[in-house]
Amino acid sequence: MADETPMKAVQVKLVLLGEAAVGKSSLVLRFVQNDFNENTSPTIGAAFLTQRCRLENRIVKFEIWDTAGQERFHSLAPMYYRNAAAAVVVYDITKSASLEKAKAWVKELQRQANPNIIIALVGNKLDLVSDTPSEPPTDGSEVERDEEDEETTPKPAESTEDGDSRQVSIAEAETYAKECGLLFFEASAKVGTNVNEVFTEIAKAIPLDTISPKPAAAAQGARKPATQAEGGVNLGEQQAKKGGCC
Amino acid sequence: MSPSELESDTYDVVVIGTNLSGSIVAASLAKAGKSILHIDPNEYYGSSHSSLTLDELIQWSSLHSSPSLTSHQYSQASTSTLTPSLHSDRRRYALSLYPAILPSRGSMIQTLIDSEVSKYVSFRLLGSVSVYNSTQPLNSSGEKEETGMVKNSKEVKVRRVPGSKEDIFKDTSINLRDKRKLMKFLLWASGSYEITTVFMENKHKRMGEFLKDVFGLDVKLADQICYAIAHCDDPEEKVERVLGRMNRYLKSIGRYGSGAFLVGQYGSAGEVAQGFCRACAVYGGTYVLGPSAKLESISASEDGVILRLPCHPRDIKASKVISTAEHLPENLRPAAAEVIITTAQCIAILPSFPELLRQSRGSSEGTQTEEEGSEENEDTAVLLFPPEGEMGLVRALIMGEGTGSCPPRQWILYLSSVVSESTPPKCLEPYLSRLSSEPLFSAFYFSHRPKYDIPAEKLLPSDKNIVLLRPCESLDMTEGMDWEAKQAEAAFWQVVGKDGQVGYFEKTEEGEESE
Repeated sequence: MADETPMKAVQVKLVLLGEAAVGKSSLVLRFVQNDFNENTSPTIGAAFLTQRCRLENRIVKFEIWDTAGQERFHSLAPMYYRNAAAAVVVYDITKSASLEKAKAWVKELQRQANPNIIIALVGNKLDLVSDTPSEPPTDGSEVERDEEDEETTPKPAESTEDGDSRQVSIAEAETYAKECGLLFFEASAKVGTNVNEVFTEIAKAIPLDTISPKPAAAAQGARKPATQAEGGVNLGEQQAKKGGCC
Repeated sequence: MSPSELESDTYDVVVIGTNLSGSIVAASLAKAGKSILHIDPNEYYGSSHSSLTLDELIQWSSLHSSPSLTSHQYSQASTSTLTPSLHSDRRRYALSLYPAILPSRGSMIQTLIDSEVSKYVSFRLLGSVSVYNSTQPLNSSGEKEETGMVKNSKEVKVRRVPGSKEDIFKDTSINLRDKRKLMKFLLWASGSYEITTVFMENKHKRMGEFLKDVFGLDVKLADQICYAIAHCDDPEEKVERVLGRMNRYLKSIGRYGSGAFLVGQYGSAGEVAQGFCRACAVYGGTYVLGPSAKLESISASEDGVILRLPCHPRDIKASKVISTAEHLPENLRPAAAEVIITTAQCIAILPSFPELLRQSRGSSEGTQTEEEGSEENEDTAVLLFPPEGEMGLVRALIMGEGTGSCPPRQWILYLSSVVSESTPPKCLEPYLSRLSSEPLFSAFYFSHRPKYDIPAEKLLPSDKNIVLLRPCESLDMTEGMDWEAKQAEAAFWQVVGKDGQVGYFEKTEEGEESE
């Protein structure tokens, strides 16, 4: 199926989760603005952002949903998880409590979301620790740290130069991720380290055929494109709107 | 900051309840730049419009099982027990406490589009609208005379109602003479009927009589029009009111396809409410649900409203509070209504699409439309059972897997009827069994709504800083969503004032700064 039309974009809903201020939105901003900017000029706080991820055999179009602050009081609606084929659960490697929160979110995903959801655990703020360049545990992807160094100007580490601020070791998080079958990365939204890799690996991990089992039920079911184009759904182009966000 | 503390002690507006109108007005105010705290003492979104998972519905039912009407909106709720397979799939259901279909033209669609919440929620066309042929005895009522046509087409129990010109042409069960009359009426009703003398002279008549006397339609067709095209509670409804609604429904045809109505995904109303809540959050609104959002105290004064909530250690001050009556303490509610209307409701899970409705397709449309939408027709449907014996009109709405309401090869059936007494299962079980001999699950309950003698807009809250959202008085499934959208807009203007500063879901070039 997908082989015949290899370059047709498949749409994948991806949700972000994690404690407030771990950098969920910045990760997305980095991903969406940096590298594949074929279409939109996104803004944080939009309903959702889209970004294409080009793989060898297909294009995955991510529809990225930010929590819009609804994670603070655990008031994320079922709609948020609905039909998400992927989730990025973010923690801050300089705050051990944030990993605990991340684990809780993974549990919540297992409860609420599609059982086949691809989950990536991402330890953000790698730029705040300057110890070893952290290799991602997955074999395939390479760390292309230099690629986005144009923004290294901001202060690298807040506290010390030698990475004292790290509170979550790679080993700890990686072990947990392995146990739960999650993709795992350490990344820096600020510098750009590993950000694209997170999304690329997710895109690769999404099974070709099971993409959106139901999501576009309306889209596929309604033979009248009008229902989609003007009706309830894809009304007009999406416009990024600013608003409060974590 | 502790996560169990709000970011602020003061808000422009606190909205209580995440029902449709509350959610819409919250989103509209957040978009207009107001700071919003939106709370709901329930663990789930939607309040009385919620879509629940199967386990949530069972829990909900146990909370509303009280035998008599208390201060609650619901009573006598009961459910069957879950089979192991239902239990393991329990989270795959979206069961609506407010089954509704949405006309393709009207306030709700417009609000969805203007607010761009249409991006989060999807709809599909309603498959079919049919009327049950009540000469098939349920009890013993046999008052309606029928033409020979019914018997000829081997016991047609259900007639699919031709809703458009095309349908009428295709329909083989109506004779040419009736077709012409029907067309004439529909054409008139979908046009500028209100300037015609026919309307002026007859607007206070009863709809059923009007169709017979003025347009010469037979009882059967007249009933079908009343129930299935105009969605009347009964043919006694006044012409003026019916035509206003019907005109809009007829104009809805063709906007998104051949039918007038859309069915929302995932239980419709509840999903739409969630969509607006998300929009509100995106514009900076804060959300607290569950016990930590259960009002501890609320008091209104000249310059605002003071609230206490478990989620915040200090008083919360709001310029305005928007709420439905049920969330407010006695002293802040409007006077109680004299009349309470009770509806018996049933939510059932069926293992197959009702055979009855398959028949109706085959018989009234022949083979020509076999390919077109055979799947769609077996996903969503409305079936109306005209009054029989003790029972008034019973409405059935079916939503299949295509609506995201249930796992594959299952269908959710909603039944509802206004009743005076009895118990919910007693009223509705006979209808359920007509549609399915072996439902996988069923839940029954009574829903109670206040009916005021004074017009809704005269019904004032006890304080000027409290804006009241009222539930829809109409009980049919086509008007509720538009009503909610109108309530929300009215509340919006009550808060911002009509001074032209901000518009309702006004398009803006740039939103406000985040944080």
